[in-house]
Amino acid sequence: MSVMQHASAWRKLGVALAAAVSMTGAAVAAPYLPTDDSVVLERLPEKLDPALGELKRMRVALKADPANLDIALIVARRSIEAARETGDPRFLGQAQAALAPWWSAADPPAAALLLRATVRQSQHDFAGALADLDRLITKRPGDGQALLTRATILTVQGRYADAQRDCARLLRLASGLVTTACLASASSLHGDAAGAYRGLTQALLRAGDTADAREWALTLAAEIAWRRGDAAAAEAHFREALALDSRDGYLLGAYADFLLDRNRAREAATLLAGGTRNDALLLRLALAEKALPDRRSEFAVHRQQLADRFAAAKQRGDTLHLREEARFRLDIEGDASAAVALALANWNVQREPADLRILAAAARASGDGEAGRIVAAWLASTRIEDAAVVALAGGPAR
Amino acid sequence: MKRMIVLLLVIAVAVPAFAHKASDAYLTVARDGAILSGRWDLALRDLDLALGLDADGDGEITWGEVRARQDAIAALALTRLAISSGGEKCTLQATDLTIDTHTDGAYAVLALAGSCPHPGPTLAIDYSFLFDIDPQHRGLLNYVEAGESRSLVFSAEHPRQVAGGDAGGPLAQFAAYVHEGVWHIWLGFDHILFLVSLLLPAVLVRRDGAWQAATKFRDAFWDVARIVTAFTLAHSITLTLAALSIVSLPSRWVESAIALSVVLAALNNVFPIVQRGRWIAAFAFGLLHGFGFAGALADLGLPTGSLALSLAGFNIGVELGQLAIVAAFLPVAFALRSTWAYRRVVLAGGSTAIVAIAGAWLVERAFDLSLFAPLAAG
Amino acid sequence: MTTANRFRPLFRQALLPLVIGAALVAGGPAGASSHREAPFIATQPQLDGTDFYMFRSYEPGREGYVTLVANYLPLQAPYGGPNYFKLDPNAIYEIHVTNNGGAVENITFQFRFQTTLDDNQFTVGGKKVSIPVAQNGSGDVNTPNSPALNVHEKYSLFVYYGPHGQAIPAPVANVTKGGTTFDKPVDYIGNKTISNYVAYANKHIWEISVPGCSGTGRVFVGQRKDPFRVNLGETFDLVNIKYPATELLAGAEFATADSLHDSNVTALALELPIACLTQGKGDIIGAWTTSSVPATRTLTATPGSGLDPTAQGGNFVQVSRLGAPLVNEVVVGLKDKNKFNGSEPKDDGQFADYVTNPTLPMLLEVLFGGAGVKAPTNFPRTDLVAAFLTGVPGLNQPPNVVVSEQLRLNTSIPPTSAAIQSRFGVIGGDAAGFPNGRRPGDDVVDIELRVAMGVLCTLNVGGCKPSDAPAGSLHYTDGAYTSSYFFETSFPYLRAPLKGSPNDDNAIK
Repeated sequence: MSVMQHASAWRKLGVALAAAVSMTGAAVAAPYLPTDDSVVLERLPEKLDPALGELKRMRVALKADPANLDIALIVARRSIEAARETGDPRFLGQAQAALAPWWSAADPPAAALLLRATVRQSQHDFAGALADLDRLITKRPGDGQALLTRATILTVQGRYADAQRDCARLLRLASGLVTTACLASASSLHGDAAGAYRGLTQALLRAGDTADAREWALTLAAEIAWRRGDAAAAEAHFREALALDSRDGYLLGAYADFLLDRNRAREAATLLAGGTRNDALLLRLALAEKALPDRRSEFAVHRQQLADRFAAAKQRGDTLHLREEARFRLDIEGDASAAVALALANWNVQREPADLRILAAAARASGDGEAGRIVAAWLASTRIEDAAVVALAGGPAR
Repeated sequence: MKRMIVLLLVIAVAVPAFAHKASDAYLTVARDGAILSGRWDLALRDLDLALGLDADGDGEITWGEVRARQDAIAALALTRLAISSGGEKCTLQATDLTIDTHTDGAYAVLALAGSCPHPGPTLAIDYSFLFDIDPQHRGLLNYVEAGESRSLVFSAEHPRQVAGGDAGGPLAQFAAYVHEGVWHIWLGFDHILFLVSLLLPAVLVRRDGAWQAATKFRDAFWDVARIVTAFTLAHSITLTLAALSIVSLPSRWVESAIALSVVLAALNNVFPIVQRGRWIAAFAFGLLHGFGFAGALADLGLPTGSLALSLAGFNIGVELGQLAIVAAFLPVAFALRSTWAYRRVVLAGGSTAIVAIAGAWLVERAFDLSLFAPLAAG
Repeated sequence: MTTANRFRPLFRQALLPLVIGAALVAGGPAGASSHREAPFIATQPQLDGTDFYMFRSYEPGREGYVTLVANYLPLQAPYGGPNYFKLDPNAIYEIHVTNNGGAVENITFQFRFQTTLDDNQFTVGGKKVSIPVAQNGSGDVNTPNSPALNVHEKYSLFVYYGPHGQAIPAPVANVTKGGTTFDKPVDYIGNKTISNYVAYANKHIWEISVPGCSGTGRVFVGQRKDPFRVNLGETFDLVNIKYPATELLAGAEFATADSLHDSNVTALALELPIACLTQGKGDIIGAWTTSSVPATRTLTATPGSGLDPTAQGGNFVQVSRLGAPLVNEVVVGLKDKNKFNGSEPKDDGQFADYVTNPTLPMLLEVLFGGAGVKAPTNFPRTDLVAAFLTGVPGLNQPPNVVVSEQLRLNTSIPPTSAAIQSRFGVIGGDAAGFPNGRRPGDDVVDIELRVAMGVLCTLNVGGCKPSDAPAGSLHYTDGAYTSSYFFETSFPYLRAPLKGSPNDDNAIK
């Protein structure tokens, strides 16, 4: 049967198949029987990273003795680190499982309490995380990690004064860079971006911090510079951070947003070429491809994938990516009213500059009065210095 | 041809690298009457977490490694899934194991088959796969019945869902619950005996310390009507309250009290204390009986989508069942009311027997014993 | 029984929704949360050096000696049972001394700790059960190596001359008891266990004979009340610190409570003849303290029932370093507790070339800029360089000084007696105080706040002028007052620790 002879039939089938495949973004949805025992079906994470193999062995040890706090803490902590490194949320579920004997306890051991708070905050249970951290810090006022984690959550919630209080207490408990970055994170959004930036860049001149802490501080410096409109400095900081860790999801997303802002969509697309496993990065990739005329087909595919992923998240009952979904609805689907509803729901949970920005953009596009009022009020009360948001809100706060 | 190539390229581009996502399993359950079928897609990564599939520890899972653990996979899965209908557990087997691919990797697909011995309008599904190892796991259920499908999500916080009961449209669903209501009153011997105890003297009157036949059918009729109406009203109220979880009482207490009510109603026939006010007793005890019905309804499961309809249907079914009993009883009783046999055997003897049976139920239920297993009413 | 269904091929019926379903569920939420998350920062309290003191002994009759005290294991809440606070037996804790103006140690004193578990057992229900607490209840704990204790901590002290890794440590002799090991008193569990802690602890002041040194010295290692008094919480509280300087409130120096008022710390104290440390090379000595651990520490998966769940091996890596107080916050980021930071003073030259980038002034400017507080603008902060990296010329700067961060003491300046010490040290007119060495009673927080804000510039010290520090002469204070009043007048000077039980009215506020 030649293709030419049954072209019309093939074409129909092909179109249908392409549609089906494009829609699903998956292989054909019919189960199959592999032909050979040696066919590899799944590559586990430990294939790429032997440390994860060690984690797996520790999990087995923990299964034999679930109430063993020492092992549980190691497994939980490493699982959280694995989740951050790989961007794979299954590890967070495993971290929670490792803490199962203490997950519902009112007063678990301090280290378990800290890790429980960390898992909760990554699930956006900020209230739960803060309750845990408050209890922990009352018990152990010198616990630097707890103070830093609490300060970070408070900054995400927009409670800058409270965050600065905690950051200041890191003075004797953590390195100068960590203390300064913690302070700068809050004070840059609370009326002193210039001072925050100055202090942070000076602290970055020092040596002697972990790569993690340094990358975190550099990303922050880049974001502050970007918000202040200093693109060259932002670029330099982003690149330096990427040199330390080229796989960090948060950093890649932030840099991609920066590039998109600067109309450098192609660079953004290249940056994220390998990043479609992570929803937030897939969003940025799709946004980049939207701006590139030669990427029509990829854009269509990724757009559908994103729609599917958000639908699946809804089905699953997850609300962790409201910010991304709001951007998707606004910038890709062009549905301003859906976007503003999502942005408002997101705003109830977290209040980082990116959240403010999508709220402002959605408010402007949809003409939603309440959203606009919220943005204006926030700008006025926090004196946040973010050029993009101010422009979206229609000029400087009165 | 060019189009074909473009198409193929599109397809090639369209197949992405695997995505990262939290742990989900995909369960499809299709129901046709008493027959269940479906499939359950379980991520190989999750199975590896639960059972350890990577036998040679090389970080890759091969088909051979999966096949070697086939039985363990099926066993694990089936202990984590329980389906019941009409208050009884359905059987479930895994008949086949294949592989499928979702966006985050490869999944083992178990083909499921089963049947329900006492199919009711709904299926109650208890899902507990992986929650102990990954509390953020979700089971995504696609429930198919009568050509319609609906989605439900299982999580560690909600491991139980009730599916169905709303297939085939509102009328069919209503009819299903009416049927269940009728069935339950006919099966509910304690309710029947209570009603019968109250109705037996309806065709008689008590004068001068003795039973005499009632003269007019109309009096008997209205007596019965009062009692049945009071009983119906009362148990409808409490059935609704209990079914909506507004009021809930411990079932052992309720069942014991119901048995007691039967004892008292029957005893009242032997030592008549209450005559014209039997409808008050019907109302008062009817409240208790309503809680008893609610227990049965809970076993069936109310579909969340059309709660009111199902509840109303069940209630009406109970009424219809009752009325059927009354309609069968009243003319016969009226006809036989003057006979010696009716007064002595049926009323006195029957009531005494009822007292004995209900007394045994009372003892059984209050003290959690089992004296008359076959006679115990649900 | 149920709704009447026509028979349908179930598989097809199931498959179609499945295809749609698969499409719908083709990928859920992925990646961790999109908000910024706090990184894990390393914290290893056992190795955490918190304070370092060096001063000419001001105990009457001991003017010919220098006291050095290194504190570790901060923020010990008094009720820290059942393990209380033991130093790391796998680590080495050192105090390094230079006496030639250089940046490489000339003399080093090295402490190594060891904990033994008697594993006293009770018979419970016919079975022998290990006692989970440190004391076995057999009596009052009032002597070194008390039989009433289940757990005993001991240490050895070594000295070596020359750079580490080159000289072989020689053991310091315990003149009081004989031999070369020393007992460390158990932490102050409570007065039921230890009826008189002060007396008990004082029995652990050992007389020592140091190889290469004439004369004897003293050593004490044990739990002490944390001598660092600081207002940690409110210090930088935007809302609460109204009076960061006495100009704003006369009593600002007393205004707030010491955040560490209920904390203990573990002190390693040495008292040595001056000549032992100067070795005749000059009067000015420099010192710092470090802790080091073996390079590989892996936590074993299944901790046994011994005391140490780690398996260690390999070369030692320095993980903590401390010379002058709050240097990290004022000068350069040298205080770091993770394996990346093993910096040594000989490498500090790099910092002299950088803009010195203190956190404190930035903090104060950020927080109080509105009130007119401005950080000094002279970059590089040569005044801070003088204070911390070279010593102040004419005070404690040795000839041919190599730029390096050390606490520097001019041993020719006589000690000031406790009653008349100024808590502001040099800037308060007391030349025997900080930054010429450091005494427990020097209020280094207030001093450093003032130094950070440029007080030395107002004195034309360190190459800067008053105009560089417009707010330099304000009398900054954190509000937590400290002075020699809070300390003893005899070795080891730091007060006995707060008791773990009962713990009401614990602190001297």
